[in-house]
Amino acid sequence: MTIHKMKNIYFLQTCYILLLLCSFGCSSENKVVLIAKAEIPSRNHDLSYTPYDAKFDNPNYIICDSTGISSGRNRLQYIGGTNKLRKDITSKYVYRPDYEPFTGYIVIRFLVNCEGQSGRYRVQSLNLDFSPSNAPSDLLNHTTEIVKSLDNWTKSAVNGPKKEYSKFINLKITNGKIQHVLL
Amino acid sequence: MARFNMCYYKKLCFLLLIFICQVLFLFGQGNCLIYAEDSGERKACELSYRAIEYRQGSKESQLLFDKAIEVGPKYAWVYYQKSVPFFKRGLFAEGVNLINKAIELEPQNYLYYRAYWYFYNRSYEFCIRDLEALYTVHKDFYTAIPSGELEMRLLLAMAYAQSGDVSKGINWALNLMDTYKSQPHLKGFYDHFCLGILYYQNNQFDLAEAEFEKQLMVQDNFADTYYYLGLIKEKEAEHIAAQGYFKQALARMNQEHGGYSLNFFTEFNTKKEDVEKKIIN
Repeated sequence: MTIHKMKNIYFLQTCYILLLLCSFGCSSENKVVLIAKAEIPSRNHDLSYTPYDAKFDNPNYIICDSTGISSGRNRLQYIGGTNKLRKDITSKYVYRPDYEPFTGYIVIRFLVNCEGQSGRYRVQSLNLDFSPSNAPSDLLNHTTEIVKSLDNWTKSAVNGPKKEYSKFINLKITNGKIQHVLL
Repeated sequence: MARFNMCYYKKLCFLLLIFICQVLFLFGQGNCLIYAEDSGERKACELSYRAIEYRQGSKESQLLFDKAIEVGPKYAWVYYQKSVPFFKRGLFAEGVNLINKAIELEPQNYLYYRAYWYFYNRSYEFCIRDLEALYTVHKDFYTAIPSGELEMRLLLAMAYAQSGDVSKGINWALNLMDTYKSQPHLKGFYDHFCLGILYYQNNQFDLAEAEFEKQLMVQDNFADTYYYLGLIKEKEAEHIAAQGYFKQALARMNQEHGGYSLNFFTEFNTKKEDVEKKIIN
């Protein structure tokens, strides 16, 4: 091996070490970002579970196992399929002019318990960037009542009839009208 | 001399390989050693990796993430990881609060995830804002959706098309295609299909057809391609050919011969009932 080539190899090895050191240097760059602790959502339970709230919930509605609730999109299915579910929701929706100013999302969540009953309904309205919004309360009540009236749910046979599920339906509302039923 | 050169290049490749492995080891997920010992980031990183050993969304994992945020509030990955089960359960306000924190710290790494949720919830304006920032400001090279099937520029392209600016959408899809000139192995399974539907939307049927034909070369079991080809033939008044394509689309939607459909394309998704309506018995 010529001295010239040896030098090249040593040069490459030195470059490699320098690059590695540079990588370390880059990683330790300080970024100053203040995090407000209050903005971090904290839950002392499984995220699929909705705890009992005397303001909204029937005290006789029981969840058998709050730690084993399934939440996958297809775990709880609607008889007739998702197209039928969309049609059932939109056909029951009655537009009112006072809903017109609202554009954003209405997200309705609920549980189906070990006895096959649905309950613990929660509703939230959001802007299109997912920040909380104030939709008309009648609109929130109307859409929640529509979802409560749906009773064609069927549980996945794989997990057995006692399995419990959480489900959400997201309604994208544009000028007070349902534009999309997002499942 | 030739033998010596071979030896020299082998050494060079070996050194490069070691360097790449070392960098991957240092910066890949799972290595908390890049953070200084006893630093908040190191502790947050270790706690986060303990958290993901538990079921996603479980109380145990959430409490560990909370602890990680407390000790290492500048560690971005924990906000991202904690946000995932919130988004998946329809807790969007909480999920976006968390991912916003990750984006404040490392926009180049987490903008795509917020954009992904905006796209699939049809909030196209916000999706465009995030992805324009990702590719224009942060010069991202290649980022796919979490399940890996589509590069984010395809979502950006479809978001523009849904917002009425199809030409801009086509430009972004072509921008992605340019990447493949130097990196052909990166080409996705549905890239030609996406570009095809954008051309179709823009009434450029010849270009659309060419893309759908290319898509068939990549994957011929994907039902939606046949449906769009049928629509093009229908516009060209080639009714027999159109019917042939619609029938092929339906067969694949019924999962015949390994056929399948996907719903990654929001308003461009192909509905089985639409295919059925097209078939004349």
